[in-house]
Amino acid sequence: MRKLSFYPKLAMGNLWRNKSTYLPYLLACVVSVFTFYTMLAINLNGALDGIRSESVVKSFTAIGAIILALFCSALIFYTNSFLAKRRKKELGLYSILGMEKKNIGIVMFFETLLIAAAALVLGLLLGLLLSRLLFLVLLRLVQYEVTVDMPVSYSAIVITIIFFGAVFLLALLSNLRQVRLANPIDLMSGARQGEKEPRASWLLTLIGLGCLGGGYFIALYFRSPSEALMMFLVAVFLVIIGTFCLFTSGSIALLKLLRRNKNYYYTPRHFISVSGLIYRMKQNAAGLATIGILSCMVLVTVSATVCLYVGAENSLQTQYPSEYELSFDVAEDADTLLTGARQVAVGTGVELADLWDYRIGSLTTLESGGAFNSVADFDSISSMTMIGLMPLQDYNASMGENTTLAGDEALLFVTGGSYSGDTLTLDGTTYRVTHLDQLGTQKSGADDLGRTILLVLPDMDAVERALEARPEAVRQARPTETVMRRALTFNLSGDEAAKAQFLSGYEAFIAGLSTNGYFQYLSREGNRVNWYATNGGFLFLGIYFGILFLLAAALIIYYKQLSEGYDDAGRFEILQKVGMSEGEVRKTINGQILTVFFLPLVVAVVHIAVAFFPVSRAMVLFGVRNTPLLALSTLFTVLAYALVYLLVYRRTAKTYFRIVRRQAATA
Amino acid sequence: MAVLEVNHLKKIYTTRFGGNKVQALTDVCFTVEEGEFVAIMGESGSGKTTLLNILASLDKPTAGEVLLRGTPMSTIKEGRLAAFRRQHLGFVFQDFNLLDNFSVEDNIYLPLVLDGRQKYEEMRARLEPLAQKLSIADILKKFPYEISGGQKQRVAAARALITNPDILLADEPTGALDSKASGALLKLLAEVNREGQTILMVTHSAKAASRAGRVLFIRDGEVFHQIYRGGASDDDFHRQIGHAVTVSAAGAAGKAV
Repeated sequence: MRKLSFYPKLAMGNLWRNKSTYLPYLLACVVSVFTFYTMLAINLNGALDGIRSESVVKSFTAIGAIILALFCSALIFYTNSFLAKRRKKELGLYSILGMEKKNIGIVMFFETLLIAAAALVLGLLLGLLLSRLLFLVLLRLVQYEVTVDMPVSYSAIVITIIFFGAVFLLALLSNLRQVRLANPIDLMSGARQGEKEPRASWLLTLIGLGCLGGGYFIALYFRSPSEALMMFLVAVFLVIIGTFCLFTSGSIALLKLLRRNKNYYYTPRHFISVSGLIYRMKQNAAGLATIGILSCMVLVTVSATVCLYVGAENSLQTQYPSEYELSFDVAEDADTLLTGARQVAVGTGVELADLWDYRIGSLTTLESGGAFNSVADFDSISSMTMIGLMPLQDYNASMGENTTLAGDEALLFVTGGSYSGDTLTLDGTTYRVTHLDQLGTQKSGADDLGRTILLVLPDMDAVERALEARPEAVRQARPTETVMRRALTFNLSGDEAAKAQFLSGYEAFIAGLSTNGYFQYLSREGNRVNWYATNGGFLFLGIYFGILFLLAAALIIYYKQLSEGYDDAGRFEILQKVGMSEGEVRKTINGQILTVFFLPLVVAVVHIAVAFFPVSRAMVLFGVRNTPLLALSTLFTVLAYALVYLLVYRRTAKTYFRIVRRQAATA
Repeated sequence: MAVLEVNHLKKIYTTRFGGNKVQALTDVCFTVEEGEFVAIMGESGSGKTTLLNILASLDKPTAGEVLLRGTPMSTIKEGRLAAFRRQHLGFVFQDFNLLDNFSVEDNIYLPLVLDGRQKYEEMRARLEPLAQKLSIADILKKFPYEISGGQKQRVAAARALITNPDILLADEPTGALDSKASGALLKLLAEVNREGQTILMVTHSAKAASRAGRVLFIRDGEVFHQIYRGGASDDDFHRQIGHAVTVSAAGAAGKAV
């Protein structure tokens, strides 16, 4: 009986004695269980079936759960191996005191069991308490107003227990393997042998500088949204390589350069720090570079999703200047749909407002020296210009204006670029143009996907003549373009509920329509649902993972600092004996921790600052043209991240000092 | 004037929760004159290390006073202690205490750099003759893990001597060395002493102590005996010390009975 309770007690005692390392581990495990369960429970929630954004929410949470599974198990394995390494000496002592490997294995089994049980119980408890709240947050983010219940998901509980049970079992097995392989003497001599001084590779440093510079250049140089997105990936790749090279070799090269400068190096402030950092960078460079890059990615993702989400209304307005937009090949369809819209509007109590009803012909052109020529094909969106041709009659009718134009005159309205000439030549015909600053609610010059020019010509004949002027090859390659299309756009006035009724009523009407022509229907309301479902889901995942990642990064740095604290204790003891005051020791330590901690953050912030430009251009592809908003959301995200980081830093520094001090005192 | 004066030093350690009191030093008095080489001998637990820690200003006495060139150490402000240590005292430890992330040269410069008052050229000028004397000139660019124990201890000695300390405190300097390296190091210390350096060495090795000019014996926190070399050779002095140790052991046994 006594024997049975001996091992659990010993295991409990071990954990308690090592609580400064095991508590963060337990915390990481609890958070892992909690996040995994929550994601899974939302995914498995049957109540979601049949809601409007069901498929989007489900696929987001499914992807989320898979990433979480990978991420959490990696985190647990990493932390576990770190802890096992730290405790080698203790286990060696047990072994020398006469504990067999089998007995050590039993102790380890109980330790893992205790941690696993605590993590699962606390994590699931937290999950049960908070998953409903998180679920509501998610529904709020995807703008789903109807309350959906969130029942306790037993299958999610079972899957969570099985999954983490397996993870902990594997962690235990890897620990047992270490015990089995090692002999007590090896276990006891945890102390490091003198380490070779790291070499600085100038080649790698130069490669790093080149890659980083190249990446930055590409990110800043390519300006058009479509190119930027493609080149951005190249830039990201280069910056990642550059960061790794500079962290591993560049940092050491720089430190050695500083060391070579005798007047800089042989001063109290730099002497200890520089030589200490050379070793620190050797051990930590790869880890710090990874943390820097991942931080950067998380921050960019979160700030971009925040911006997309917050800028949704703005973006919907620019992407859909009118609430409803319909265009047709067959002009008769327009009459049917307009009549239909009026009928549904009367039925639901809204009125059609800002109704535009116009004919438009569109051309794809390439500009060369102020002359635009129609082409059948184009290389990239950025080089082409879309030209829309509208007769003056339709323009005046839609705008409620009374403009007149001479035979060679035209009105010009440009978006997604600029055109400032007084004349414009299209397929050989030159028009004297009057520039319009505004078209309805749209302002000219707004950033868009490629340049679009609207030309208002004096009459329908002029439009047809312009279409006829296209080269023969173009006319054959894209005959559909010659067909003038008719377009309808309108807004609604009325209260929100009535508008929603109109949306469903009109969509039903359109669904029942039969036409053999090409027909396009866009509604801002209809797209808003998708928009919020997608971006809300993105935002949810982005923030969720952002927090989890921050936790993991902080934990990894915390453990790194602890293990260095044990290594440094001896060093600082010597320094104190040789004549360094405790204040100076403190200052030096602070400097070193600060560097190791904040170097990745600083690197991440610099990367983000550069990435800001291509990201803001890429946002245009998603219809967000609000640069100040992106700046604000980036700033806010970085500050929130830095704040949490700072808290972890202070906690770490405190523990580190305690270790250094205690070791020095007992020596 | 005496370089070091130790008056009625007493040290009592109290365990953290105030339970046990351990009297490490009962009443220690002695002086070290300019240019002397003094060895303090005693068994483990006799209070040697405590004494040295107090002399090094790493620890404070419960009662009594230590004067360095007439200045009571207790009058030095807490914030100035570290500076005082590196300007007036030199240390050699049993386990060398070299920093493994510094080259040999930088290890030796350490106290000077911490002091921050000298340019590199001045430090270099000080190091060169010292490195010649200690025969470490050809290993200055190496790192501690690349050199032997004897070399390490000579480097540690160089680090202690480069500040021209008032007194060199050596704590079992031969404790981690083989007999050949021990002999060489002791010879070096004797040489340095002949050139005028005051040395106080703590040891439990009679052989090491036999190099000193005077040996103090410490037991149960008290100096109970001292012998002078006078004109004796190293070997004779070694025998005398051996005799004193035997007497001391007998005395301790007698006391225990």
